[in-house]
Amino acid sequence: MDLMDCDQVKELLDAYALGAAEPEEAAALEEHMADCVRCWPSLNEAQRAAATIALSTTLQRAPESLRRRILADVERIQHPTGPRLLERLRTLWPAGVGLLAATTAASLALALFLQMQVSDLRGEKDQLAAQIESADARLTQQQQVMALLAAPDTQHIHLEPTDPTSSAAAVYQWSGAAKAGAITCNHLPPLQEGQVYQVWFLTESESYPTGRFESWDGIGQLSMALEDLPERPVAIGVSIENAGDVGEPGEMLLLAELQQ
Amino acid sequence: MQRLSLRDRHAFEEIYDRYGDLVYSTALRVLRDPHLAEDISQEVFVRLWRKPDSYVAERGRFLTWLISVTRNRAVDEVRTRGRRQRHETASPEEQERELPAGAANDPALNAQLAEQRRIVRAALAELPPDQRQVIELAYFGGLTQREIADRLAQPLGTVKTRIRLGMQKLRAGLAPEVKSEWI
Repeated sequence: MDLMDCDQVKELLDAYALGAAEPEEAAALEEHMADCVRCWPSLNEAQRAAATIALSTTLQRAPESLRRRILADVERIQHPTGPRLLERLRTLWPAGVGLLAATTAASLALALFLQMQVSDLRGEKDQLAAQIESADARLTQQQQVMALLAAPDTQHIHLEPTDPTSSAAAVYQWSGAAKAGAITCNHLPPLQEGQVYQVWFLTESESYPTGRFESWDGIGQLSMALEDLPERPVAIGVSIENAGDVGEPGEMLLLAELQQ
Repeated sequence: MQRLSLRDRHAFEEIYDRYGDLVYSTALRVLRDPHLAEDISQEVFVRLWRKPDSYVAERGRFLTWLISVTRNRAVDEVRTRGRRQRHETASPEEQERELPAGAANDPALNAQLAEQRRIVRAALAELPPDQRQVIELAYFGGLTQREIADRLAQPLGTVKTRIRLGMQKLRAGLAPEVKSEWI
């Protein structure tokens, strides 16, 4: 649909606010709104009028179970499964100290960096709470990786760059006992705005997105629980994807075959 | 909202206690299914917790945004399930029992909502029936103008005119009475 002018938008505003505009009309109107601040008050007024209609609805008491469900979700978001996994991994720590391998240095550096970041943020005011939470989550994941390194049956495999001129490198480590794995990458190429590093498990026929991570100075890490894998993977890879894209993988940046 | 963007759980619970019944009731009015209404309400509040920044203060009031998000998500669900034919303009008074003011999470708020509800219903009742019908089919039934035209076997232009005139009258009828801080 062609771009709308302000008069066309005003004609359509009421229907749009009621949700009655056709999809292509709604898209054209939203495109106009993105660039035309002058029309915002009119849209605001139309949406207020439309929302007022909802006030005609007889008020029903929401079930108490709804409150419980929502707060349980919030709790899960605030405290993901990390601590549970960490506790499980911690029990394996004493037996595996000798298995700390070359990637431990990178892991330690990352942990120290994250710990410093969290400490710095804690020195600031409340408006940094969200950032602290985010950094805390990353630190928790980092601690999981450190614990995994110490598990008694940890194995590792090196991922090679698919582009021979790339200096990117990675090690994938996993523990059957802990049912957990972690990938540690170094010399990763920088990301564009809105991109993330995506880890994939590849089977003969499918690609399973396993998790995403960011990097700090080319170093990135992701820990993962292995119990959710739908079938035995034959390879593990890392690609660069757009943050909103969860479909098929793009070109792999790093790849390794997994021995059966 | 500022506290919410800082992941202040207490602020979030306050917002739920204040608006939970309204969100649930709006979803229920569209969906006519308590379980689905509960699911959609949960989605709306969890989304609010995850992405409080999706509410842009410059573009309108919080309650307007919250109701719009709820209504739109409920209508999406109706469309997905192909159940839109089930409900049209049935009067809510005929189908639902009013929540007693004392039973609400926030009795004072509930009393204010009851007053607003009386005003909005009076304004809707002032509209010619054909205008009220298309507005309710759109807002609660989730039908587009073209779908309403098909449903009522009326020309599309007629439906568009009824919506525009109806909303103009509704705005005029509500303007002096609905408190601006509300919505």
